[in-house]
Amino acid sequence: MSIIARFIKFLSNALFLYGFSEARLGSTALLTAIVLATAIAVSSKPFQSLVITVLIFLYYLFFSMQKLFIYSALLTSIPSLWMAISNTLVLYLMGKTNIESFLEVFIRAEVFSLSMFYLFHCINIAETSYLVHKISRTASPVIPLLWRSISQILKEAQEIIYVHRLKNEKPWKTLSILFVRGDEMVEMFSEGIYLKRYSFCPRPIYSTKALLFQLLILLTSISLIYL
Amino acid sequence: MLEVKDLKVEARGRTILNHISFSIDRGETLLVLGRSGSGKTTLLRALTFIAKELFDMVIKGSIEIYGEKIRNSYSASKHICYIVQEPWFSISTPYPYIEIMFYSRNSFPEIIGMAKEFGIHNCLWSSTSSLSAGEIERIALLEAYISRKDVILIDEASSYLDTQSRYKIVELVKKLKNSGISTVVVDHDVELWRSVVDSVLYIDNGSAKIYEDPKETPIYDDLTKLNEYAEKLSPCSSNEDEIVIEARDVWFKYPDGERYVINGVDIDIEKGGITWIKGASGSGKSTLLKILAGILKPVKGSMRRPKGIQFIPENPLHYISSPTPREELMNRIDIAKKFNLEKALDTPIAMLSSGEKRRLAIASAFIRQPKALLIDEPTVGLDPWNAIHVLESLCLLAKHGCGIAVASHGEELRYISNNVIELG
Repeated sequence: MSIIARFIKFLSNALFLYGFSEARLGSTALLTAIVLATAIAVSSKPFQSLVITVLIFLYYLFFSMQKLFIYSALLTSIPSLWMAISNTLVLYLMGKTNIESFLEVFIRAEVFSLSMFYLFHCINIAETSYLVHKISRTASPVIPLLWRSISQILKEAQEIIYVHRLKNEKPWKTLSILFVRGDEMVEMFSEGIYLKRYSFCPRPIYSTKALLFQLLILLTSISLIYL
Repeated sequence: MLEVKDLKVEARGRTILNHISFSIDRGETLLVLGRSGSGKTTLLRALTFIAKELFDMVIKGSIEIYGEKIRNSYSASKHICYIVQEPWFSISTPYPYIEIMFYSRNSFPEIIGMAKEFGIHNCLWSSTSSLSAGEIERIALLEAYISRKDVILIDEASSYLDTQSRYKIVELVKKLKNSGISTVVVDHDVELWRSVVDSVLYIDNGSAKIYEDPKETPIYDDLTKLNEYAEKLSPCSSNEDEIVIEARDVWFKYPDGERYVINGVDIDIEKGGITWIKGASGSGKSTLLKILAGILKPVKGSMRRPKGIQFIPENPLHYISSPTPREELMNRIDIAKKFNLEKALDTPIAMLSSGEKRRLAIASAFIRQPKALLIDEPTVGLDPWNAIHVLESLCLLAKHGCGIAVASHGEELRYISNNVIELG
């Protein structure tokens, strides 16, 4: 299989594995706060911030979604390694190389990007749509539709790339078909949900377990900053 | 309840529907019949005003529901639920549970109770993009049932469904009838709907006539003749000594799946033969085809396949790679004629009909003279005439020595296949 098709498959697994889960019924506001707290924690105490990643992993484990964490960790390790290696190279050229700075950069990048993935995986679509609906009734259906269509597009893109590779097609032709299919999907969704959009009425749905766990992660992240 | 008087639809000055009048009462089912391109889908789009607001068509005449005149999509949305031909585009959220919660006012236990009645409570937590057409259609019907709409419009209700799912949909429509919801169904499967329809609207060249029994319509005779013709198609003769693809004891499961989708399958694709991989939706037909193509790697088992395989997915657009059929077929007019595409040679691919797209994909594969062709659901979403054209195209390819594996729930594959593998 081509490298691009493999990458898209991997990305798709890292983003959209598993169906609906209680893990996705926490609070988007709490998740955003966790990401912000993680950003501060990794910049001030990079090694200690690993505790946040451990807690996030336990969250996935608790809701039986650990494969999602593993795929994300593997995916984020690519830019994290690249950042760590390039930083080490610069330090080497300056004659200041050491393993600690390599690990520091790697952990910073890894911990923060995993918290971003955590936000993406566990975003509460019900809560987010409800909040956006309060601001704009026209924009609110876009939130769930975005989640719905991204996974569909990735799935189809992977298939198109592979099929065209069997045909020995040029990459630009594959790209053009991706655009044609994207356009077709927009038209089909427009027709499919045209009438329904009038009765779109999102309701916030929460899970106490998910909320408590997220609160625990947030409190730990804040404690790390101050302790 | 629904009364349509003298409906006329025009697109860029061309009349698509002319003087259509019909009415249906509460809890009645109207079956809309007609050949491809006769204006069946346009009728549904006109009833919802999507034709005017999305496709810029002109709608004349009157549409009333319970005495309320329908003037735009907003007034239509109060009474009508519309399920489009490719039903998964009717679902706008990533999980069915969220979908039903967002489009209804019912509580969680009520939704679960009704989902059990519709036999889809296990699908509520799945990812929408992983569900079969049958499951999606039942979710859309549940949504309409819960939101208490007066009329449900279903376009090509059975074309994406396997036999089992087709009967489930008919049972659900009966259930909707009993609860006072009216349905307008566009479909080609006359026998399937006979037990449930109250009247039939037959559309031909934009004009319509009402019949009481689907068997009275002109299309019924056409379909009977087509079936007789299809039965005369003979299975392709393969070269049993020459195996182009060989798979032994193949097992597969998806990363987030708990069970194996493919359990120890053995398969031989013979040169010049057509192997039909049959089974209900979700039985693993497409997965097996993707394993044979090399898109998915089996968890265990052995595979032997040559170079030069072509794979045409369920959506033929994924195979096509040029802006027009002429370019896709490298200006081979002879091939275009063979596959009945000469009239569409310069039509942009996005404007081709489903049947034309599928024939174009097969014709394009034909030019490449593959040793093996793997094709997923080649007749799905097609009317019977186009489906027969596709079968003939596959026979043509097999006669040129290509080994073909077809994953399909369409029973019409029995006419041309010389080898059958049943999954599930």
